[in-house]
Amino acid sequence: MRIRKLFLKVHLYSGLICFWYLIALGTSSLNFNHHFSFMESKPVQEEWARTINLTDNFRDDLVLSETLRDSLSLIGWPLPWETWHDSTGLFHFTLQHPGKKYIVDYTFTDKVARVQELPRGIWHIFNAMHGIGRVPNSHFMSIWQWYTRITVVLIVFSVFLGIYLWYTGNRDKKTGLYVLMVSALISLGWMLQLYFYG
Amino acid sequence: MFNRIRQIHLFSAFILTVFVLMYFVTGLVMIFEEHFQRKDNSVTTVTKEIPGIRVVSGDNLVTAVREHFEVRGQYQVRQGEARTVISFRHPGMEATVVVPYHSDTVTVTTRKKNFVAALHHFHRIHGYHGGWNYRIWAFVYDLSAFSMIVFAITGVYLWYKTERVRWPGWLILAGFTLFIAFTIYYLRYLQ
Repeated sequence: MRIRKLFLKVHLYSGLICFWYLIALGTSSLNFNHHFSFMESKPVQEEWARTINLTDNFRDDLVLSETLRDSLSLIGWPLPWETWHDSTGLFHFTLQHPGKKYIVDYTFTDKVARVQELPRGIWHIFNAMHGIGRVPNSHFMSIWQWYTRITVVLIVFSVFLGIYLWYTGNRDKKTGLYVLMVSALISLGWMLQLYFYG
Repeated sequence: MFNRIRQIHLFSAFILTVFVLMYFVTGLVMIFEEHFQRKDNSVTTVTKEIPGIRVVSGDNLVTAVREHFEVRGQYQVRQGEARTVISFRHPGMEATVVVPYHSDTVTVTTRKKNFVAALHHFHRIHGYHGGWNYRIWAFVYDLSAFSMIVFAITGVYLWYKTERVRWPGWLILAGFTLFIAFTIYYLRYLQ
């Protein structure tokens, strides 16, 4: 009985730890399937510029993008398919993270980086929490990455704990067991069907 | 009320356990991608002459391609430079079909994926398209997503009704609410 009480506490408190992640998973998954218009946002553009001293000896555009990102104290992933040079000596790249998109134009002649910021809406960020993980150049987001990892492990553990708690605390086990077995068979069968014939 | 909420928490979990578990297990594989590598087990390319295919378009083109090649799953049609590209995907397999505008020679490249890649695909299947089996999947996906919200809310209610000493729970909830709020604030305003 002591073990059961302990497991119940672990199950309850795991649920509280995972509460917001479950909500984010639920809403973002529904949004993937339906693309709700109220979750889309129209970005309001902001612009600023900063002088960055860089020499024109970068052979790799990705390294150059990352160097500029770090010099500008920005975070996010440079997008290789939105990166180019032009004949005037302009270097253009786009940087992205769940909260913002940055369009950066750097000119080697005057050493100025002109940045256009396109912030995203709260819903976009909340839904992106589903699977952000680490964001380059951000120490804080490493905490989020660890929270995600721990939460997913806790949820899997909690599901089994929940089944154990139900099994040990319920007199009528038959109905639940039938529901569990039938649903498990149908779900697994469905997955196999898609894998082999889908 | 407590029993009713408990039953909702319990039976929604029972009906969707395997599905929800699948999402979290495949999620773990995705989170720890450095330990679980995706790769192609084999890549094969087949070229075939299908008389008159160049004048077929839309759904008829997809049907014609399906009749001549072993391709299945959800598909996406793109118009490229002088060619139509149809990508078929189902867990474990990806096929890219190229139909030129000015020729009847169709090329199909099939990539058989390893099990890890198939797990990634299971996690990512969504949308009400690709045939009846994918529509049913999308419906169960919706149910699973909805059930996650239900688990979370009913779970908090059950904790509140079960525990007499509630301050540790409130502390955890408040702490993680602040953490989430600060993460959103950080991504939206600080960076």
